[in-house]
Amino acid sequence: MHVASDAAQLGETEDVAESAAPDELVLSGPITVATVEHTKQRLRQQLATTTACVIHAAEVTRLDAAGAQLLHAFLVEVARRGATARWASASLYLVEAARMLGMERYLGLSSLPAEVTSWQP
Amino acid sequence: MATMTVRVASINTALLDVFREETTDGLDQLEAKLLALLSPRDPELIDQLFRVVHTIKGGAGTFGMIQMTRLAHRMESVLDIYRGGAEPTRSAVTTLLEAGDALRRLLGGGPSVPDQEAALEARLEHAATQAASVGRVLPAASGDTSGARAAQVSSTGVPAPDMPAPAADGLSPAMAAVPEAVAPELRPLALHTIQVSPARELFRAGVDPVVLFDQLSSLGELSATVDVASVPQFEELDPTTCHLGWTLRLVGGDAEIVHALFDWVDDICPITIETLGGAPATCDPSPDHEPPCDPAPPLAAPAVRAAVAASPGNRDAAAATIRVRLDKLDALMALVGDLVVTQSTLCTLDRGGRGAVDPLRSRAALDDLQRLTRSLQQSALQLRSMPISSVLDRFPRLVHDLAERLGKDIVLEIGGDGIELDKTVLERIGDPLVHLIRNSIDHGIELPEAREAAGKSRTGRIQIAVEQRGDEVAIEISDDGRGLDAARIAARAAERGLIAPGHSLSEDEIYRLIFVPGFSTADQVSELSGRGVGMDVVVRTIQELGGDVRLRSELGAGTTIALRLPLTLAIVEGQLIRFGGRTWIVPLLHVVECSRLDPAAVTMLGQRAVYRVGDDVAPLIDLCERMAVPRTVPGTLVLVVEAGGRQRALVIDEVGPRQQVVVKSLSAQLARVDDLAGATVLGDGSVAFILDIVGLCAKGVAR
Repeated sequence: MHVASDAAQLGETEDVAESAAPDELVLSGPITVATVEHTKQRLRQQLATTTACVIHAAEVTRLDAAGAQLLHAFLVEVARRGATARWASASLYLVEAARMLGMERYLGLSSLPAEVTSWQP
Repeated sequence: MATMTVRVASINTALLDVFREETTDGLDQLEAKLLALLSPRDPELIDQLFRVVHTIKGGAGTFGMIQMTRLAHRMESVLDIYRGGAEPTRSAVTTLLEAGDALRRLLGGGPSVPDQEAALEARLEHAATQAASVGRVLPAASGDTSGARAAQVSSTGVPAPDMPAPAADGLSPAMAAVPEAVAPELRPLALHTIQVSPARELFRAGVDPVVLFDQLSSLGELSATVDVASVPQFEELDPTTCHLGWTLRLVGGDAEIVHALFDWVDDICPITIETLGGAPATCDPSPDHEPPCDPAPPLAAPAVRAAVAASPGNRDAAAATIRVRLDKLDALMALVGDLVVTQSTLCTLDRGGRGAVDPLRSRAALDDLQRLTRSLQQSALQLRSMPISSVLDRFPRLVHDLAERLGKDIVLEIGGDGIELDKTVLERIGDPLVHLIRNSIDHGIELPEAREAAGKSRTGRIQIAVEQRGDEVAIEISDDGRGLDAARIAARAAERGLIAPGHSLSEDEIYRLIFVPGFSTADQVSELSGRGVGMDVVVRTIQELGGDVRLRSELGAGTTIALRLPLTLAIVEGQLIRFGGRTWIVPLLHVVECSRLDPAAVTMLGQRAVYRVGDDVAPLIDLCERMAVPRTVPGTLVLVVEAGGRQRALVIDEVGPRQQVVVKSLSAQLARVDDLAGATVLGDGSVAFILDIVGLCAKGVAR
């Protein structure tokens, strides 16, 4: 997963990073067991600064159970801190994986309007 | 759902080739070991077989190859009973072999044939039931029965409580309980509740529940409920450990297959299944006891099927690859290292740039270079070489199946199967060898009664002996059957007008008649042979490969067919000759002798000139005329060549040295020219054509 704050360094989500506001979290690429440790660091930074997080995940190309578990823990932590999180977009890869794992509800994806899901990856 | 199908397929495609390759090896092992089951029993064999099938099942499950998983599971059930000491029967081994064939077909992306596969599953089930019942009747013969399926049957003949009693027709209660008249689609769907309790290290082991659940969803309608209660708070969470658990509800499908899909991860992702309704729920989730379930119609796993179908070339891809032993690559690397050293040496010879090169040192360096070049050539050829066992390994099965079908007892002995040949040669000799073996089984080896009456052992013997002789390999296929009846062949040939009335042929010439297209002495055309199609194809193929075929036979004692083949087609040992002012190459394999042209040895037979070679004569061919090149000097030499048992005397101008030449294929225009097999580049940079001696000897000489 790439997030906006290090997108310029990674060079893959540079455009998104330039346009992302501080409370906006841009997720892209795979969110899997291979990337979750790095992703957790990024999410921790996000938690430190955000009060109302808007998640852009249209460019997520893969989500596995480790990634889903981390996102769930992140969203629980956001709520525990009294902050809010909202999905601005989510790729169908992400939504389908969450549904397969029975985690749509826990990730707040079950009520996601159809127009925010996409095939963009 | 469609999105997941695409995604999972794309993930797995990269691994499918590896899986296919490994499973192909596994299936080869399976076949060889199954055939060995019929020989005196090696106690390790059953365990080895079980492991092979178990590995195939696990891999197939991983890739969602449902039908492969089902079949492998049934095979495993049969083998599990044999592990307990029950003796495999010939018919059970045949069924297992057929199941192996079906696995091979499915692995190659072949279509699932539900009726055949269901029938095969039922036969495997039957074999398992029979084996279990034999274990019950003869408990003393079962040896160590601890922990094995046979041990679950008590010595009183009463099935243990967890073992379904065989039905009267030999099928299990599960099979018998489902009336065949009930169409599968009308049977009630089962509801499986599956508890998935992964270990913490699940993710680190590379197991992704998304993939597992996606495969499950191909069996029926799946819904998942996740348990997140154990997930620690964000800061405490090690994201690579699994704190999730699931309850899955699967409507439809087969509990047995669910188990099989999880089989390969059962140590870190244990599951329990409760089944309600549908097919009789006889499946016990414990790994030691997996009784047969209702053979529901096979369910395809579309994602993987699509991946298999989309995989580039499938079989073609396999054909385009070759496995190379590591020691061959190491040897090549060592040579390349030596080459670098030699190159450095050459570079230092004239480092001052003054042209003062030490002739002794430069000679030594050039000698090294020459030696290394030849070694590199050999090493590169070795990379293309494969053991001939890759072809011969199919024959035990062939002999087993055909002998059984014809009611014959035959043992096959193979020697020298470690000898390596060029992959191109190996790919082409398979079919000719199959034909020769089939001929031996069908026409050579007699029925046991006939053999006994002839004072022979009831068991016939076919031997395949492979031997390397220089740059050639000799393959002999011999049998101790009835041998060729020269008188009968001659009579049949005379009937067909192949022998002129009053003309007599030597025994060798008579035997060679069986290579004539359409010639057969079989009284009845059988499915195996007797149509007179085949032996000519055998000879033609071997000759096209630059080899030849010879035949020896003794009536009542057997027949031997000897093949001679080059080890490789890429490089040939060539004899350089000159005519028409050009250099040409004749493959050394075909050269018999070279001598000064003796006009006294030339005789005219009608319009045809022949040349006396020893006690025989060979058609005389002036190569300048034949190849339509101008004669520059009178031809003074005769080169006698032979292919397919036919000799030709070639008039040439000069004979040069022998040398290895690299064969280059001809351009499309030149490929149409008769009598040319290829071309090569000589040391001086000139191009020389390689003569097609096989074609030249096969064709007539009138020109």
